[in-house]
Amino acid sequence: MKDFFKGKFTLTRRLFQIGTFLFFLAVYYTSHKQSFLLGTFYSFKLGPIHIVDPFIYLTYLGRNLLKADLFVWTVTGFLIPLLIAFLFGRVFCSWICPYNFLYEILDFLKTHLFRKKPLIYFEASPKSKKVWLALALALGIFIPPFPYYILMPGLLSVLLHQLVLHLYSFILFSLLLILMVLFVDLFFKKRIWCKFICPTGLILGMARWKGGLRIIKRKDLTCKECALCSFECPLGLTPHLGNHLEDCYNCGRCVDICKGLRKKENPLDFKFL
Amino acid sequence: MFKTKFLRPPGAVKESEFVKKCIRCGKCQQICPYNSIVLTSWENPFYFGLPYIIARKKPCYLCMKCPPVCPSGALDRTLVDKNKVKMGIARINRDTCWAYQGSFCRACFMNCPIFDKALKMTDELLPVVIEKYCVGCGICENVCPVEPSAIIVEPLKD
Amino acid sequence: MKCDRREFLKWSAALTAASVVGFELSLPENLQAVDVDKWIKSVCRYCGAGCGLYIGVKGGKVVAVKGDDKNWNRGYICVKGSYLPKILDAPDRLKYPMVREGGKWKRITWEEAMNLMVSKFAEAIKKYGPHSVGFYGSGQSYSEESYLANKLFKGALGTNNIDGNPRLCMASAAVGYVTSFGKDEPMGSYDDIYYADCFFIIGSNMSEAHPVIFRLIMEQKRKRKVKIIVADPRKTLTVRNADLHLDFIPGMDLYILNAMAHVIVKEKLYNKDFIDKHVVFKKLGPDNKPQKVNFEEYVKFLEEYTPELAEQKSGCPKEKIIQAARWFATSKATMSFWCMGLNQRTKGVWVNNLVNNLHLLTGQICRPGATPFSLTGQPNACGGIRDVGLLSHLLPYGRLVANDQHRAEMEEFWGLPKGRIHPKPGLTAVELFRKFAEGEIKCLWVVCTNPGQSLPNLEKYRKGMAREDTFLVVSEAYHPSRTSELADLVLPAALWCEKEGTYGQSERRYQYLPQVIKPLGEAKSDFEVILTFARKLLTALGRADEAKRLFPYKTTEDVWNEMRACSRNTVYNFWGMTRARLIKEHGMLWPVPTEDYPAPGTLRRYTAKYGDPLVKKYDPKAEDISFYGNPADGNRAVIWLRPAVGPAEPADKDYPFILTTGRLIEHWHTGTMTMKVPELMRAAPRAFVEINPKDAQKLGIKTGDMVRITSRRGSIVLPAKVVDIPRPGVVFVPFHYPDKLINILVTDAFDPMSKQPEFKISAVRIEKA
Repeated sequence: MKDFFKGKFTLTRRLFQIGTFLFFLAVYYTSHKQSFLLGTFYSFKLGPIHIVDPFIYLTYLGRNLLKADLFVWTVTGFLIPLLIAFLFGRVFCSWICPYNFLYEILDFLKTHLFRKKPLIYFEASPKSKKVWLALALALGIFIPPFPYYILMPGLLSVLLHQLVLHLYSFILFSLLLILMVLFVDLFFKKRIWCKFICPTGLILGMARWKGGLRIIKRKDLTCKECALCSFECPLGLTPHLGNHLEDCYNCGRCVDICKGLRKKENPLDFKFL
Repeated sequence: MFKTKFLRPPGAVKESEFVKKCIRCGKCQQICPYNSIVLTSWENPFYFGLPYIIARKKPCYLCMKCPPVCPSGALDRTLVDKNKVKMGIARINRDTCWAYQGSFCRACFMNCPIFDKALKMTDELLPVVIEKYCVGCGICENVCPVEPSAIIVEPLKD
Repeated sequence: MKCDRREFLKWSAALTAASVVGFELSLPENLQAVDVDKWIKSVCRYCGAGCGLYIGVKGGKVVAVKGDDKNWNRGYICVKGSYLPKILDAPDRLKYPMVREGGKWKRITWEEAMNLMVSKFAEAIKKYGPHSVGFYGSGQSYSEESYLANKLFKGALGTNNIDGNPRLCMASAAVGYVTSFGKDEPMGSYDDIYYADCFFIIGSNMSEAHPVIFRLIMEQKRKRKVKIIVADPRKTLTVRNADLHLDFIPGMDLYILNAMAHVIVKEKLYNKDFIDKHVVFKKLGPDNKPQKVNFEEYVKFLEEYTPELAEQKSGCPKEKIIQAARWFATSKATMSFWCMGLNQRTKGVWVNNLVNNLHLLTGQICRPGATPFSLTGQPNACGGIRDVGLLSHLLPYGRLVANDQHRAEMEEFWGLPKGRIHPKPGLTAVELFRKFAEGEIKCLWVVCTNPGQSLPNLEKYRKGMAREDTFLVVSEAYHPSRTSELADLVLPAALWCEKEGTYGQSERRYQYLPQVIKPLGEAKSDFEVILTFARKLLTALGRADEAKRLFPYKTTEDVWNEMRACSRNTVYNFWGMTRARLIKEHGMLWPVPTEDYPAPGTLRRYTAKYGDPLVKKYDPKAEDISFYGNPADGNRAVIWLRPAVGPAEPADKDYPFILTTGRLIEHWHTGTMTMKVPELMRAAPRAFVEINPKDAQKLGIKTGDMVRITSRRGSIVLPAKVVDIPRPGVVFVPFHYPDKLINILVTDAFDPMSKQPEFKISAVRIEKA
C-alpha cells in the first residue's frame, strides 16, 4: 500500500485524485442549495463559467452548426481546459481524471495482490491517433449519444451523482459500460483507453505546447540507467531513454522514483519553459 | 421497444433539437430540489444520459431553477416565468377519471400550479384542460388517485 | 400509435370548457362490472351527507363499493367513498386488546381487558362518586351504541359527564335550531335542492366537505340556472362555481348577515304575512334572559347594521351584500347551507340564529326549496348524538337534562329510581378533557374518535391525556392513533361494515348499515363492548339486578326497538321505522309515526301542506305551518336580535394573520381511515399552508418553502402553497394530518351557549423557516 502513495509528487497527486472525488461528492450533496458549483466532467459550472469537455463541445458545435447556442460563458469554459493543456500538458488525465484513478487503483491491486505479470502497454502511432480522433468527432456529431458511451470521466461523475440520488437503473447501465471498458483495459489492451481511445485525452495531448510543463532528462547529471522509471511509469513510457514527450501526462511518478548517483541530483525533473 | 416520448425539463427546446443540443452534463438534475429529473438509461439507450421527468413518480414543481444552469441552450436560459413553460399538455382519460365517472374528485384541479387557468372545473364539476395555459408540469398526473393515472401529460411533439 | 375514433374521444383533451357542457354523467361502468358475489345496500362511512352505497362482497371480503342509485345521492359518491374497501384491512388495524405496561404495549385477552376496565371504573365510582368517570362518544358510532352509552352513564351511573365529539362540530347548529325553532334538526331535506332557486352557502366548503350534495346543486345550476351565493373568506372551488361571492374577514359574518336583514327590511322585501302568523321577536335582556320584543324594535335594532358598516367591518363590498339580500329575499325559494364556518365559533349560536332569521324574515321556509339547512360533518352526529342525546346537557329525543319533567320521563321509561338522573348538565368536550387533565375525572372512555388530534389548543389536553394517575380507555380501529398512543388500554373496534347499526344524517335520514363481513382479528363492535361493560360494571357495583333489568338486549334490533319507543311521544317520532323497513328502504326521514307511513318519511317538517304528520297532533288549529317544537311561544319561531360581535382572537399587530383550518376532499377528519388508502395519499400526501400570493410576496415566500406558523399557543412548520384561495390576511391549513397537529395552534375559546370551541379563527404570525 505504501507504494501507492510513495513520493512527493505521487502523494500530492493522490491527494488531488481523492480530493476530486470528495469535491464532487460535496457538490452533489449541496447541489440543491447552491448553484455556484455544479456539474460533471462533461461540463462543470464554476460561478458563471461553464467549463466543458473539449470533445463534447466540439461534437456539440458540429451537431448544431449554425443553430448552436454560443453562450459566452460556455465558450470561455471550452477554452480553459485547452489553455491548461497548452501550458501544463495532460495534467487533467493524471491529476484529476477519476477513470485514471480508478484504473490505477485496480492496476495496483491486480499487480500486487494477484502477482500477475504486467502486460505490454498498448501503443499507437501519432497518425492513427489523429485518424481515430477525426473518426470519433464524426461519430460524435452524427450519433449524438456516442461521446457519452466512451467518455469515462464524465460517465463516472454522473454515476457518482446517481449514487447520491439512488437512481439505480442508470447506475446499473453505466456501471456495466465502465466495467466492460475496465475489463478490456486491464486484461487485454493495457491502457488502450487513456493512450488511444479517449478523445478528450487526445485533444488535450494535441493542445500541449512544447515549452509547457514537461519532464526532462537533465544532461548535466548522470543517469544510472537503472530503468526504474520505465518500470514504474503508469503509461509504460521510457523516461530514461528520453522519448517520453508524446504521451506523457506529467504525473511525476518517474521524478519521484528517479535515483541519481548522489542525493538531490536526480536526472529526471519537471521543467517549465 | 424503447420509450420514445419523454417529458423534458421546463424550458426545453423542441425534442429533435433538444437531443442535439443537450450535452447531458446533468446540471439540471443536480439543481432540481425535488429530484424530479432523471437520466435515460435502459428506457432508450440512444438517448443515454438525457434528462427527463417521470411525472407519475415526481413531477416538475416549476421552481424554474434548472433553465438558468443549462450551458448549451437545450433549456432556455432566459425563462423565469413558470406560466410560459410548455413541456407538454395534460389529457384526461374520461373512461377512468373519477369525476367523469359520476364520482367527485378534484385532485388535479386543486394541485395545478397554474391554478384555475390550466385546469378548470366546469359547472358539472368535471376537470377540463385548457390547452393554452397548460404547461405540462405533470403535477396533475402525479396526484391523480386513479391507478394508472387518468390524467397524463403528453410531451410536446415537434 | 394508432388512434381510432373511440380512443380519440376517450383521450380528448377537452380543450375548452365549453366542449364538456352538457356532458351527461354515467355511473362507473368499470365498477358495475366488478366481479362480486353480491351487492349489499349500506351507507358511506365518512361525512354527514350520508350517501347510500352498495358494498360488493366476494369470498368474505369487501372488494368494491358503488353508489346507491335509489338513495338521495342517485348513485354519486365522492373519491374517498370510492376507495372505502381499502380501509378495512390496513396494516395498522388493531386486532386485539392491548394494555400499556411500563411504557410498552402488551397484548391481553378481552376477558382481562374488560376486567381491568371494570375494576378501574368501579374503583373510581366507589371512591370518588359517579362524577369521577366520563365518556367521550362520537358522531361516527352507530345510534344504538350511543344510546346504550347514554343509558349507562346518565341512567344507570347517574353522571352527566358524557359528551360527544359533535360538541366540536355540531353543537352551535343544534342550539341554533333549538333557540330559533324550539327543537333541533333541520326542517328541510336534500329534496329541497330540486326546488330551490337560490342557494345561500355560508361557512361551508361543500365542494370538498360534502361533494355529493354540491354535485346535486351544480346539476341544478346547469339545468335550471339557479343562483348560488357563497360567503367564504376563501376562494374555494365552491366559490369558483358560485354566482356571487361574499368575501369577508373571518369572524365578521355577523355584520354581513345583519346587514342583509337590514337591506331586506329597508327595501320591504320581508314577508309581513308570515311574520305576523308564525314569528316572535326576542332579544337577550340585561339579565341575560330572553325577552320578547316587537317588529318595530327589531327594525330599530337593524338600523345600525347598514351595508356600509358591514363593508367597513368585514371587508365585503356593500353592493355584494345588497345583491345577496335581494336574491335571498326575492327568489322563489331560497335554501341555505352552512357548516363548520358558522358552528365552530365563539358566537356560533348567534350566527346560526342570524341565518335562521333571514329565512323567517322572508318566509323562505317550510316550502319545497326554502329551508335553512345545517350540514353535518359526521355520519351519525344527528341520528346518534343530537337525537339520542349523547351530549352532556341532553336526554334522548329532544329532552333536556335540566328539565325536571324530561328527567322524570326518562327515569320512568328506563325504569330507574326517581332522581337517578343528575339534574345538572355535565361537562362538555373541552371541559371534560380539562377536568381529565386536572385529575378530577379519573377514568375516561373514548370511543370511535380521536380527541388527541381534534381538540383545540391540543398540547394542553394531550399532556392531560398522557397522565399516569388517570385511566384512559380508547376504543379504536387503528393503533396507534394520536389518541390511542396516549391511552392506558386500547380496545379493537369493528369498523363500518364489520358491525350493524343505524346512521342518522344531516337531513333526519336514518339508514341501516348491515354487517357484511366478520370483524378483523379479535375486534368487536362497540355495541357488544359497551353492553358487556355495562353489565359487568353494574355487577361490580353490586347492582346485578339493574344490570339485568336495564341491559337485557341481545341484538342491536332490541335497542333499536327501545329507541323507537323512546321517540314515540316526541317530535322525533320514528316509531314507524322498524328494522325491517330500514333494511328494505333506502333511508327514511323522521317523523315516521306509523309503520304504514309511506317511505321515505317526512321530507319537510313544520308544514302540514307538504306532509308533516305531526302538525295535526301538536297544533290541531294550524292550517299549514306550525313550529310546534316551540309551544312556549304559541308554536311560533323566533327571530333573535343578535348584535354583531367579532371573533375571540382577531388578528392584531403581533399576530397579523388569521389561521383557519378545514378539510380536503381526499381525507376525512383525523385521517385514521383515509390515510390508509395509498391512492388518496397520492392525491393529498402532506399538510400545507395556503397563503395568498399578495401576502406571500410581502413575506418573500414561494410555493414549497417551509413556513413557520406561530400562535399564542404553539408553532408549527409547514410547506407553503401560494395560491389565490385564501383572502389576504388569512392562511388555511387542513387539520387531517397526524404528523402536523395544527390544532396545537388553535384557540380553545368556546361559545358560552353551545360550548363549541372556535376552531376556525386563531390569530397567527407566519415567517419563513
